[in-house]
Amino acid sequence: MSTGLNPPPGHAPEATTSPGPLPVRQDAGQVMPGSGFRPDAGRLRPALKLTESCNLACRYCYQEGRLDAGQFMSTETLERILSEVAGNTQGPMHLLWYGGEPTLFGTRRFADALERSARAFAGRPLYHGVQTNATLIDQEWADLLAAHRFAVTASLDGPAWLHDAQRPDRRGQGTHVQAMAGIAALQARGIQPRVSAVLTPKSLPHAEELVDWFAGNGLHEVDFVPSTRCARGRIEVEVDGEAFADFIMRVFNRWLELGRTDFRVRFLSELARKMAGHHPYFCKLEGSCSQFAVFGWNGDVYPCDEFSGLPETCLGNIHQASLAELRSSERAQALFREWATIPEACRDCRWVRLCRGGCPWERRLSGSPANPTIMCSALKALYERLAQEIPGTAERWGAA
Amino acid sequence: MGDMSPKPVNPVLAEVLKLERTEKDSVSWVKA
Repeated sequence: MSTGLNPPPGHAPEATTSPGPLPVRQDAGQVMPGSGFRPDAGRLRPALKLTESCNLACRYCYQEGRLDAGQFMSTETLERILSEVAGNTQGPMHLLWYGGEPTLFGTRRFADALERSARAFAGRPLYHGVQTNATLIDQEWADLLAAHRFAVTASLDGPAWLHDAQRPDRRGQGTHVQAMAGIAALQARGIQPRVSAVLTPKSLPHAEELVDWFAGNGLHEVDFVPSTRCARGRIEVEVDGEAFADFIMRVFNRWLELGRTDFRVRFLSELARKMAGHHPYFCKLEGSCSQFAVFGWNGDVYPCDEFSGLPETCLGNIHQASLAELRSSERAQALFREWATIPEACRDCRWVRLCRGGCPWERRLSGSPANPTIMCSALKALYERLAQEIPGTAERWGAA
Repeated sequence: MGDMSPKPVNPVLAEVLKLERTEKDSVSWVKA
């Protein structure tokens, strides 16, 4: 069986994605070209979890049980990771810093980590991103992130009544005021953060209200992330595919109805771009995910953070093996093969060339990676709707 | 017979399709 060594489609920015010569019926249960493990990892995109600690205690946190460990990435581990990543890649590098809450690292240590990364990738374009709850972002943080031209994603669930109920601090107090203050500090320094809103049964009935709220509060891009937890090896699904399908279609209708060309709903806009032939800047739509690597605070390596609650998906530790060894191990290759395999049940779907079976994590949520993604009904509804809205997209993806 | 020409793309979607992206945009993790 092929391990799919072809590079994923459209990796260069603004490259046009193409459905490619993918057989529809014959390849069910097979690894699809364009997916799978790339040993050269030329476009590896690493994420560094500086800590698993967090100052919040979100009701849906997928890192439950690890939040107050008080453990932070050591300089030795950071240097080892940077050295391995730099030595196994070439060209532009994007580093995503997150946690836990990465700002718990403090500005002094964080600035030191940035200096070390600049040295590790000297002579190469280096871009930074951070995922934060924004509650600790003050002038000093905003200055530091602005100085390094950070792309920032801030977690914000919506208006105070919703956010405070879902995202309390460790004492049970709401954190909406602090998060909004942090976002304002970033905006004052010229950083327009993307907002990531976790979608729960409490927020599901309020699709239109949420779109209006984000668009009306100076935010330019929001992503709605259905709440699923994987704590201590146990997976819990709070928002299933049917519920998400109803929510996201209502969001879609409201988004178009508002008519605000300066406001985007991330999943919808990236999906529209992909369907129209552009490269989507969203991992779930890229058709391949073996280009990612997550480094835990202690050097553990996972192929995706969604799976980091499942110990069997840990590829090993960067102090015990090289990155190349970890990513080419039997365990890694088996996982990447599994991820790149189109579920049997998808073989007759007219959208298979576009969807490629969906996100492997969302397939796991449906009970088995051999099943269609738990978001299948939502995705199909969106594909159909966008095909109506953007002429030629069904033909482009062989779905006409 | 009615107008058979394709309906225009909604302005919000049209704007999304016109977005110019740079290398900096290519961080594409689901949570970032």
